[in-house]
Amino acid sequence: MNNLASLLERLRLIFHEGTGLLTDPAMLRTFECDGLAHHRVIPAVVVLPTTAEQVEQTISICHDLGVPFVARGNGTGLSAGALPVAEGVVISLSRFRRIIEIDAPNMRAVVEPGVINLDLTKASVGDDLYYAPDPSSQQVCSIGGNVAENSGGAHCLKYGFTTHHITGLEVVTPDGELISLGAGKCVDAPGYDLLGAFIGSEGTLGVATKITTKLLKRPELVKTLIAAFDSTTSAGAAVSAIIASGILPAAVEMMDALAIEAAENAVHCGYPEGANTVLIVELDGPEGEVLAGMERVEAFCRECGAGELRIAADDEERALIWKGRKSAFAAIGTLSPDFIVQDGVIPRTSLPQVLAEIAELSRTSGIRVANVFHAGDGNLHPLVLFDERIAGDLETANAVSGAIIDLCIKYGGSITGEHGVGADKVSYMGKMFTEADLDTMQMVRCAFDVDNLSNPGKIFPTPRLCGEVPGRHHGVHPLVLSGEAELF
Amino acid sequence: MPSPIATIDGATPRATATPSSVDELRTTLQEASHSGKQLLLAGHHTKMDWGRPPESVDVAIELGALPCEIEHWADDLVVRATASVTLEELQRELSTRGQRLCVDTLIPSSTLGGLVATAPSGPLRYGYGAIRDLLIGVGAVRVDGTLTRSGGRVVKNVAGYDLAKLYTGSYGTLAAVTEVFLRLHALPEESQYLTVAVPIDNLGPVVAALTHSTVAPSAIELHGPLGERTLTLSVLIEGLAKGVPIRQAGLERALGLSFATSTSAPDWWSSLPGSTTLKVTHEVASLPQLVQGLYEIADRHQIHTELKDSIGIGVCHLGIDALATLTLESAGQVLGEIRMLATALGGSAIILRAPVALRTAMDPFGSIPALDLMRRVKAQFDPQQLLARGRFVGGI
Amino acid sequence: MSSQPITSSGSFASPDTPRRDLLDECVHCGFCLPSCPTFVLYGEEMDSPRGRIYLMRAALDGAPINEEMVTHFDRCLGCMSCETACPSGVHYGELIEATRAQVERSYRRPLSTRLQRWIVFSLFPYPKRLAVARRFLRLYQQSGLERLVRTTRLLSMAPKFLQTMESIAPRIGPRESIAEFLPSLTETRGTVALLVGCVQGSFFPQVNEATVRVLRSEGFDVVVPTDQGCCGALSAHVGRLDEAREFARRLIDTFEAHEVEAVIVNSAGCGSTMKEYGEMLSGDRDYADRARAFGDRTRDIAEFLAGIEPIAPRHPLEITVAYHDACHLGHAQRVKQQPRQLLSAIAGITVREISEGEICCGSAGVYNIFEGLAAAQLGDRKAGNVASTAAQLLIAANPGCTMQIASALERLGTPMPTLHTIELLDASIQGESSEDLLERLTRRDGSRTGG
Repeated sequence: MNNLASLLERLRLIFHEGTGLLTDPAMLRTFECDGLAHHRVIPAVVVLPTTAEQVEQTISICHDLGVPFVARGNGTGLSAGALPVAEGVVISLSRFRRIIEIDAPNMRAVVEPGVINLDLTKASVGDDLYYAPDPSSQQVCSIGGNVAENSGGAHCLKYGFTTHHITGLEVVTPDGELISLGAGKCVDAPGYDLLGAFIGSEGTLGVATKITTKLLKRPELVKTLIAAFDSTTSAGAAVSAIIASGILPAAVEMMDALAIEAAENAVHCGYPEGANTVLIVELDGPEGEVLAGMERVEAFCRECGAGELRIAADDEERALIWKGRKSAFAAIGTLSPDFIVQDGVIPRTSLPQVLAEIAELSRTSGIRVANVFHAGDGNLHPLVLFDERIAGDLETANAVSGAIIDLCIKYGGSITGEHGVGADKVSYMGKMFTEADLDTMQMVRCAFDVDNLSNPGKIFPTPRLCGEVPGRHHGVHPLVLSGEAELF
Repeated sequence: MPSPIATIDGATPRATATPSSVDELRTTLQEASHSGKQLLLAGHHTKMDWGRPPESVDVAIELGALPCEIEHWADDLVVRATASVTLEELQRELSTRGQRLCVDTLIPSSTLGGLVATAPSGPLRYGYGAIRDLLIGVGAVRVDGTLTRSGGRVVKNVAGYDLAKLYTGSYGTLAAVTEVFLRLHALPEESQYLTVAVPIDNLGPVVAALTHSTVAPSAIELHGPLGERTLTLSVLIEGLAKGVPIRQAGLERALGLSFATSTSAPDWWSSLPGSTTLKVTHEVASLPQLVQGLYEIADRHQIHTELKDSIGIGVCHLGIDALATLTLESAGQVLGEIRMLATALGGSAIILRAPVALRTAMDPFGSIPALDLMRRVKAQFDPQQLLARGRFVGGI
Repeated sequence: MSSQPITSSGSFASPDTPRRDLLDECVHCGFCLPSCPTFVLYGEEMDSPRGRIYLMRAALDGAPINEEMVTHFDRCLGCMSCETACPSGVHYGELIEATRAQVERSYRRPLSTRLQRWIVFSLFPYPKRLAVARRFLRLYQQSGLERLVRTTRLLSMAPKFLQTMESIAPRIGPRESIAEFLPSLTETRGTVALLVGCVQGSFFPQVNEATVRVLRSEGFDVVVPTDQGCCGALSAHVGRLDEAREFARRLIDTFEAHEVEAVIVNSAGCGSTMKEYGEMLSGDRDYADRARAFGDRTRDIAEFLAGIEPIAPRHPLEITVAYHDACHLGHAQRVKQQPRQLLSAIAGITVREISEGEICCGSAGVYNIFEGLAAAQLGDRKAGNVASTAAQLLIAANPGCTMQIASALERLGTPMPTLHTIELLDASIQGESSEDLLERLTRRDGSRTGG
């Protein structure tokens, strides 16, 4: 009996064919990619577990048979992090999605991995709480996926990323063991911070089956300002002035002329007319702090040459400002038939130089680049526009997109700020890190996944052979066994 | 830097290495690991009474002699500093540009390397996060002498594994941290410490009101000896001068209390209580049960206990110096009762620091989940188990 | 008829092939997933619009249209919620209708399913046959037979779809025939025509009566063409496109005989299809232009009334209502604000929003008859959300929704009277008090369980 046949035979004991277990080629094909659709691989099998036991059993079977597996949330990732393996199993967690508990007194929630990010906030509204990380895809992305990617969002400047908001995980390790990492609803579990290592490991260290998150109190007041500038440089100066003054905005977003045009086309967001660059600054917190802070932000913007400047008068106006920003990616479709969304980070103060270099790249290549970014933390999302129907355009666009990432590395930044490395940016890892750096990271992987079965092919350009490690212990520590040490 | 380690927990290192550069450190580690020497990494020796006593130490590697470098990118609110820099030195340097690392100086003159290795939890964690949350990049030398880096100098960065998290709180058992990249904050325009006495029977509503308040304090601490039925609550509000008084008034309204205010911290604020210190974690809202339980334990055993809880974080430090004077059996019983209480409230209790006898007789960390996986991590980084063998959880 | 040559693309054959350029507009972002009722139910990629687009592409590339694939196409309610959610503007509705036409042509369903479909499509699109069915149903309900059947659970032996039809059937009241021409009650502002609707006309005649009264009060002459047939919506939604086109042509013929400024529709499903006649008949030389003109003249009653200056005085109604967005009104026709605007303009009315309002109630034309289980789950979900508004009255603008939600609310043990937007407006204009209105509705609904 070949491997696939025995795999299926054993999976059939856990799942019902056609509902929890998919083998029909057309059905399998719907799982061939995530949000980054040009990376495609059809998996051998898809399972849709609804319990931790099913995940555990599935991974145990994979472990026994040496079959690779890839966990997938709602398939919205932008780095091909959930790209299947051809001979492997996709573990789709999209129906493993109960909100188990909203624990308002302890400011915690316990959820299953398939729960949609925004649904957690919706479920917490009654207690006047919310879940802070808000990726632009929050209405659809799953919290399990957020854990894998350590997702950020527009408001992570002030509130941090997923890793700052998860206190406990139940995970199935790549050898099929159900364990808990972190401290549940508490903090600081004694021992290594495996929770911190797991979050952002892009599914390569196992599969989370239960997630304990922090919930935050909704701020007393939120104020959003939009200001027009004649250049990204003057807008950048305003950002520097604001941040240097000690104000920590909840979000600072910048869009250039091309991005503004796209957003206006798509959602008529009413941004200041004729603006070369717009800056969106949001402050939240106690009323006294926000009002006093906003006065200063306004003054800094004016000093740096802001033209039209508006503070949203109500929630509706505020929502419209954000609608323009959050729809910018999809709206680029109104300007260009095809585009690449890039994700890179630079030290914020290098913004003027990097933007000048991007403009130069665009000029010499003839490829248009629209810029949307989280200006507060230097996270760039250049949108590289091209037309696949024009011969050579795709290649040039790819080259420009790659050159932008090289710029990020050159200026001391990162190849990804929130989308992850996935399969897409594997080849850039060697540019950002040394062999030794990558080797050290893979030591963690070897501790979790000796056989390299959990989401192989992601993050690392070449897998490390874990081999037999001298001094490796399983079970009870020999010192404890020998009575030389004791566990109280 | 202090003079080299004479003894650690009663053991005398046979040799001391004092590398003066990262390259020297690499060579030292490479050679020592090649010959299978048992090693101990040390900074300024401020936490030698933390963790389990190491099994044996052949060579103490003094990292305090490594060059002190601070590279402050003020406009990016990021700093790079070498591990031998002390927190006080760093704060002094940062303050010249109106910034700070939002970490409390709980133990004077400890190095950044030591801070990362032990990850103590202080009051500012409530408003700004713990060390793990502010550490954005780290350079470290593995036991085989390999220099490695993870993270970087930008705050937002998800490329590769976050090894900084793994090194944080690892008690020097994985690698020698040589440099850190830290996220900074601006010094606040104004700070007010609001203090009031709270009867322990009234803690429930106070905790609920504080944790669900929109006033956004930077820290909320509860402190006092457990003998009395009243503790001191102190709240730090920081921010713009215009906003602070409004927020104070808001908090007083929400709590129905009126505070004494001061621009300087209470003397107990930035410290860990006692010289034998326990760290108890608990679910945030269970503080009243914790305090009541601890009160009963202290009363039953007639031991003086100083409590300091970071409300809203769920970390409680207990200074129980009497533990060191009890018989080991009684001390064990007290610890057992505290552990049982902490476990019932969702958390755990560890001995943070204590005389060696206590830490030898009982496991400071207690039983912990995922230990096997931790051993596997250790085995990858330090296959011969040379770095501080036995000092960490489960004898790692 | 279309004169294009028959070509085949993968497992699809023209005409009515899902267009590859439309499929390629999907960038695979997944924003449609949480808006899709079947993804909400099943959590499977293939039960989401993104997954179905993938299946269409697979079929276009030659994957066989097998039972598994058809299952996932069949499960789509056609609610168009995904079109509202899609940031890239994918024309999903057009794609799924074309796909269903392919399935109808090339996939042979099991005998029982075919029989079921034959019964449904021989009945619902034919007002005269429905009128007969209506009389039987009224007799069934009034003779006590219904009570007998329900207490003895006699129906549990019948096919599932019959049970569903029985359970959602509304109370049948007396029906007055509507004259072909009804003049304005005040100075005439214009002339409009009214689509009676097959199900609306047969089972909810009071909605048409209310529509006519309000239009006349607002100064319009109303033409109600006799012998109007089905608009073709039910057929179009399940991919019986040729049948739908034939219905469309007949309806255009019937209404073209009258000179009107608007064709008024009070059934969301019919309205959305009629507005798309232009697209549906674009390949028909004789009808293309007329179909487009007809579509442009079509107005939902709420849309029409919100666009004119009201002249009939509204009287206050102290009542709290929950407003349900019918998918084919909210998503397909993008008529969301207008009904709320009309209701809020009545003094004393409080309009409550229903949470998960964008998710379909499970009615979706004849979906609840063919896909009973999914429909019942969606109905329960909707009923729960409606019940938690604690409103006194549910307002919906589509007969299918009304039947579906009312029966689900009853199953849940939280019955709530249901009215069409226009009926409430009518009550206000007529000056009925909220007490009288609620009492009338209680009498109307009686106790469906016969107890």
